[in-house]
Amino acid sequence: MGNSSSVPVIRLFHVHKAYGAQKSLVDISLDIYRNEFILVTGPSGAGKSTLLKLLYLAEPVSQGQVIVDGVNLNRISRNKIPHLRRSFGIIFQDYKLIPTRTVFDNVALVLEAMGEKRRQIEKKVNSVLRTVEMEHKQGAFPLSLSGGEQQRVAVARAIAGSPRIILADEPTGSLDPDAAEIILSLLKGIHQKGATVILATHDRTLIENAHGRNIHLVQGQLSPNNQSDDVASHGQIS
Amino acid sequence: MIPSLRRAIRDINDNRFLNSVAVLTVALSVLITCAFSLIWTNVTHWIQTSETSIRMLVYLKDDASALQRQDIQHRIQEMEGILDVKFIPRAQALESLRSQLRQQASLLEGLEENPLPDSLEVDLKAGQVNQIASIAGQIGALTAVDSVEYGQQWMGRFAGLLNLFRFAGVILGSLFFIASGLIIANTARLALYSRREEVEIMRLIGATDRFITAPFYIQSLIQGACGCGMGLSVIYAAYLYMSARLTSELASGFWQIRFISIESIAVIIGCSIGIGWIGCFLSMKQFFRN
Ligand SMILES: Nc1ncnc2c1ncn2[C@@H]1O[C@H](COP(=O)(O)OP(=O)(O)OP(=O)(O)O)[C@@H](O)[C@H]1O
Ligand SMILES: [Mg+2]
Repeated sequence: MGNSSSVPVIRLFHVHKAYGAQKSLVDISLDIYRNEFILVTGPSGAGKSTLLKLLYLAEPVSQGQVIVDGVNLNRISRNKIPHLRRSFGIIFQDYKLIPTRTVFDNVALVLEAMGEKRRQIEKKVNSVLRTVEMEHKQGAFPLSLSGGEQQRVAVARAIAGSPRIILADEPTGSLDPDAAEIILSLLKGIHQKGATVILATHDRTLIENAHGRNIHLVQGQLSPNNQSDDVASHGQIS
Repeated sequence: MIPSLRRAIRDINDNRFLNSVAVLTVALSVLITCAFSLIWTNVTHWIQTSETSIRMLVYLKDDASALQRQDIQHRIQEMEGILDVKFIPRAQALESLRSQLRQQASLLEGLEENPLPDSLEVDLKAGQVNQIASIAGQIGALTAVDSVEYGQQWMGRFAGLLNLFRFAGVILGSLFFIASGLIIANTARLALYSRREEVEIMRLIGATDRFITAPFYIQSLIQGACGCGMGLSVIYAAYLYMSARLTSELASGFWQIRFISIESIAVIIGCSIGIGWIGCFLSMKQFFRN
């Protein structure tokens, strides 16, 4: 369905990222178009999380350019960064839930930061918690939840603000196949409503079921075999 | 705003000890500043009202001409804070001395000539106690002036002392306010560090620095305001107690102690809240620099 528009929402030009001597990404160039469903795959340590971190500026690039929505992140001013990050709904690999806040408050935080009204916030939080089937635990604290439950809260938080781009870093890592299936269909639903989804994972079943354009990383480099995938899936996104 | 306030209150509750210390130091600063101000206000007021006019006697040199005398008279009249200048010829001075001495006036009978010099009677405007010494100095420096006398010599010295007292009050008050600012800054920093993980997460999901720091600012402002309220209440209670005792002792109530002026109270409230804000600002700036 959704035809990709011709203007990429995200562009990477010869991006390098090194942590000291550790080269995590090497010369990555790629374009991501509006409403694409992207799968970032590759073995552990390949640089999947690093790639996502460059997009929301958790880390700066070492070399090259990242452009999001026409904004060059090398030149973004400090006070525009929150705005950039709010255009993403981020599911962190390590969840990043605030341990001293309830499930409800963790999800509400994004909306509070966006300046939404209390009543709106309550409505939306309840709605997304219902979607991830965590409504009954809204008063619980994250550390009292299982890994899978925490992950579902993290998903709820990422989608609560109806972002245009979802960055999902291993969003099903702690889930059983059924729960993983629920999350995947959730992401597909958001994608169908027009969002761009970038999903980093090494979960085979997820990759097979997702039907997205595959960006395959091996030791920080784009693996050539994803070129064919690219052509195959471009313009025909499920 | 409301969530920030809730967060601030929760932080205060989580860290009651440090918050109490911050509030108490602000209260102490307010108390010290107010105590100095209260004493100063009342002593100054007392001096200014108890002595409605201050009179100086300016003795002229024997060889001063009438022209010189007029010139001096004119110049003194032009000075700041002078109410009136009156010339007292030596004959008139002797006359009034005689009438003052009454029965003992015979003592003066043996005098061959008038031993008194010509003089000027200088009345100062009310409330010039602080200026008395400097005015006397100025007059004394004029040619043909022999000497300047004023009964309130001790008052001039006292006024100098009073200025010193006020200076000490300002210095001490400032030191205490600076100390409370540092303590507030430290409390804010600790609150921030204890929420470091939360702050980091909030930044990652796109919260602005302003949104993140708001509760810390509110917390610091609450500390400043509470400390100020506490200090002012204590000083006001002390004032009520003292004025009640004084009026009952001096049954006439002719000497009332007054409270610090509204302006001073406004300045003190401003300082307390300002110091809270600055304290917090310093910590936030340090944390969010990178
Ligand atoms: N903060 C860091 N400091 C130093 N090295 C880092 C840092 N973050 C990542 N790396 C290194 O960069 C490389 C890529 O890490 P990254 O987290 O992107 O891998 P990944 O593909 O997400 O792996 P996984 O599938 O296990 O999540 C790894 O070798 C890792 O050790
Ligand atoms: Mg990873």
